[in-house]
Amino acid sequence: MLISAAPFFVFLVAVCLLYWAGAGSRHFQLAVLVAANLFFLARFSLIYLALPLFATVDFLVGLGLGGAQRPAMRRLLLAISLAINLGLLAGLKLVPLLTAGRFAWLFTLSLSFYCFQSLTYTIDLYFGEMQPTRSYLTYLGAALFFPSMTAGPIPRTRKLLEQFARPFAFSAEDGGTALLLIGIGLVKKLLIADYLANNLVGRVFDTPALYSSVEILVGVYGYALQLFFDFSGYTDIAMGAALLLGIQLPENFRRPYLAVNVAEFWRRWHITFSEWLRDYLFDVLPKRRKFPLLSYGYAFLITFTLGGLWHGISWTFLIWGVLHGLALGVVFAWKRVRKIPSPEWWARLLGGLITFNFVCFTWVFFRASSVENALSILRGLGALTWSADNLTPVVLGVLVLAAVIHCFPPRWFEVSAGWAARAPFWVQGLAMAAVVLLIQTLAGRGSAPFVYGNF
Amino acid sequence: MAIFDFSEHGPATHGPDTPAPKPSGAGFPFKTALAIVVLAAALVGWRWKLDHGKGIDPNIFAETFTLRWPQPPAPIVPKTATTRKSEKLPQISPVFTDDSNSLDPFFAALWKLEQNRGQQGKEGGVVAILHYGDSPTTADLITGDVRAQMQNRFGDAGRGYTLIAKPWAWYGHRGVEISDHGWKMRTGVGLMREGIYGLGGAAFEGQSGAWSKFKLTESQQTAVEVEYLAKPGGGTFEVDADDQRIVEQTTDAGIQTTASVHVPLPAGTKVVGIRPTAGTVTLFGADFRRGTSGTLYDSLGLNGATTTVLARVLQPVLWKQELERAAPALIVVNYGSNESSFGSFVHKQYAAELRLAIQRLRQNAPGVPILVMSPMDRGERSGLDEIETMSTIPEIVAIQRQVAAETHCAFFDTYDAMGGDGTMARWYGASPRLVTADLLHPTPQGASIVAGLFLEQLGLGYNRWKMQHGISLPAENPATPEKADTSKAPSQQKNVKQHAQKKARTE
Repeated sequence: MLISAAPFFVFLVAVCLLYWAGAGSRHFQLAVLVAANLFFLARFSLIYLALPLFATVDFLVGLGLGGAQRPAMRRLLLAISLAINLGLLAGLKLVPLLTAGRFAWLFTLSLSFYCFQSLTYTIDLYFGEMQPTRSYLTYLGAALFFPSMTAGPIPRTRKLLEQFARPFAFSAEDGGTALLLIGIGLVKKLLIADYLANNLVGRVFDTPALYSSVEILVGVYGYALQLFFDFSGYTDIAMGAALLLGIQLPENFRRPYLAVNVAEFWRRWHITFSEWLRDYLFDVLPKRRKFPLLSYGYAFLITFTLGGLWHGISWTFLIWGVLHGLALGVVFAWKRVRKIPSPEWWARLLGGLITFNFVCFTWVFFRASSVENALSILRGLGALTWSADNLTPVVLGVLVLAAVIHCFPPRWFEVSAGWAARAPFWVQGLAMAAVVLLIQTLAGRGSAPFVYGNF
Repeated sequence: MAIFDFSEHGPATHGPDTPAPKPSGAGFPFKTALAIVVLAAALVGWRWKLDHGKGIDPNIFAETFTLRWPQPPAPIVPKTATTRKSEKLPQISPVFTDDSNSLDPFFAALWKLEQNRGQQGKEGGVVAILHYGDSPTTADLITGDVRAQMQNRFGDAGRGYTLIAKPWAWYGHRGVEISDHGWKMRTGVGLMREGIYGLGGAAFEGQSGAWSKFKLTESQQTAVEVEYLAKPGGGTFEVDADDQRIVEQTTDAGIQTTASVHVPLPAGTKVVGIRPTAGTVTLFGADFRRGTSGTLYDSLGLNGATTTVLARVLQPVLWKQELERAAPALIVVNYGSNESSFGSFVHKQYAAELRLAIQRLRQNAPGVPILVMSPMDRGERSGLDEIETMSTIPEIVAIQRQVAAETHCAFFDTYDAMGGDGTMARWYGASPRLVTADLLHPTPQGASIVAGLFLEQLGLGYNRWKMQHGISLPAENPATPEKADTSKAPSQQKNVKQHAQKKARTE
């Protein structure tokens, strides 16, 4: 069930009405939420109804970690959780690969985000950063939380449990903000990301030999914007859907293409993923203070190589991860050498341009269907052919619009959310209807799958 | 020390990392619920009263609450589409029909090529095929594969016809890299009136300073024939080979007509250049030949083209001259993808438009067999997360099949050969992807499959023709529709061969 498609919203409204009806009883609400989570999983395929079994193991491991004092026992319990979740993650990535895609149809939902989120629970418990929940219902509500199941953001289970532990609270401001987030997410996904994918990016990447260097370059920039609007559109809808249930999901994007170096890019792009990598992988890797460049360099490389492979077991994702790992190493080394706290404006501008183009260069590998496809794109860029016949005014207009929207200050969202919250209910409803009809008119019917839904 | 915590400060965040407890609003959120009710009512009202295609589709409710077990995907090309061989003559296969045996002259010409191939001193001549089509043809994807395989089997007579310049970046012709500058381009797309265009439906007007270069990347070509518009007050252009001028040609003439100049190319020519040298010239295309017998497969695609280009746009007198020069043994008419966007046109006018196109082709290329090739599947995303076939595509295919039968043309049903309904969903989901994200154009891999399907069916037709003429089929031919009768005596085969040759000459 795509969360940008109509059936999801029918489902969401049904869940919300039931959930709100039980506003006086947290248990009832949790029961509704768990049923909704299970239905959401089953909607992808009934085989996903086996997932609560894995979640149950983590719940029991959590109870065990709450009571166990012996380090050996705690390590064993953590190992069980790691084996379960990493095994599930690796299995889902490897089975289609090892069977040449013959069984890919069985796994229509990627469980990467589930696995990452579940691991935050048992690892945090292992390090004593939280107490386990004793409510099975609450755990299933949080671990299988449907708005973030498909493509994140990756919340810490601890933070979801904290919210579920409180009494239900939902203000008119929350309602306005949630509807605004969903509206923005739909526009981002259906009007911008899908348009760019269908009318520029897909064509350039599928048949690069048919395009000039200029068109390929614009296609690569277009992909950078398509990916941002696709993923941040998903995140906005997920955050809006969660907010309707009184749950705040963490922020995932902060105008990433304005970053002045790759390190800052990762503080702005897919924030919950990079924070997960930082807290649960990078920080855990051993480092020697004597050789900071070497030890941090290798830690960056390991972290982002694995981060790359998380997206899929392929050479293209491996190259993408290695490139980012190396770039972070370079930034780290540069910072140690230069030690300039706040560079001049021109240095920031130059850094921003270099960073954006580097990120776009790595997106070529991220998007390409194979290394050969990526090399075709790069060869096309290097051919220095200048025709721009395929860049229609509409495509260029959408690209410029997308670039401008990407740069909107966060404050504008807060102001808009305030307006949305204060607006009468009928204005809110009619505004949302106008958004839906506008999308149906401009973009036709339907929605392409989310890019990150594949990971 | 952490991965992203260098000395600088990150941008300010909006939204708390740890959500704070909220003080109010613990009951049923009536305002938000009412907003949703208004939203739903507006969407229902819009669909009910204003636009039946927008708003809330009632099917969504059933779809939302339907659960399914996972289903394995259908094969890329269902076996039923490719393995349905002819049970009895005259039908070739369900996806390839030629009930009036209209392709016989073409098959006879191919047979002549096949017979004489490799025999010293014997020439089978040149069998030219013109393939008129829309954007997939423009990029020479399907046609390029068909050309390669036909030339591999029957001989390579040359790269064939290319436009003088690239009207679109994705215009291409396999084996010829085209670069150009300074041409004013016109095509017959989107017009409803006759105009002056070349064989390929495009014209390029240029003055001194304009140029085109054709880099020959595959086989050696021995000559190029440049097609141009001769007219009173015409200018001149030159043709060079590897920067050595070969010919300077005037386009000045007493009356307006299409003309061509045959330019022999020195052995080993890598780049052919064409440039206006004086006045204004209007050029149409460059036809590369090898001077050997074999097949030519001219890819005549125009981006956005519809059947109307043949039915109404190409000026008949000039088109007839161009067709006579090209001397095709077969003309493929391959439109329909662009028409599929206009349902009303398809319902009301498409059949008449196709009949008119075929009638005009018959008038301008009398006796040349015509093969109507249906469009590929074309997908669109439905409101239910799925890619489905555009409803007009099967309708167009049915009309084409009917009109082809009425007008005694052969017909290849690309859509059903690919697997019919839902093909785009399967092909888009394949790895590697077989169609692009617009669910209309094939990727090179997809084009190769379509070319293979077309050739397979054409091979079935060829084999049927051979059987009808008592020619035994080669045992290794994979496209043998039925058991080949190999018992015929050599003398009988010789008679059949002579009959075929005679028939080809007659046609």
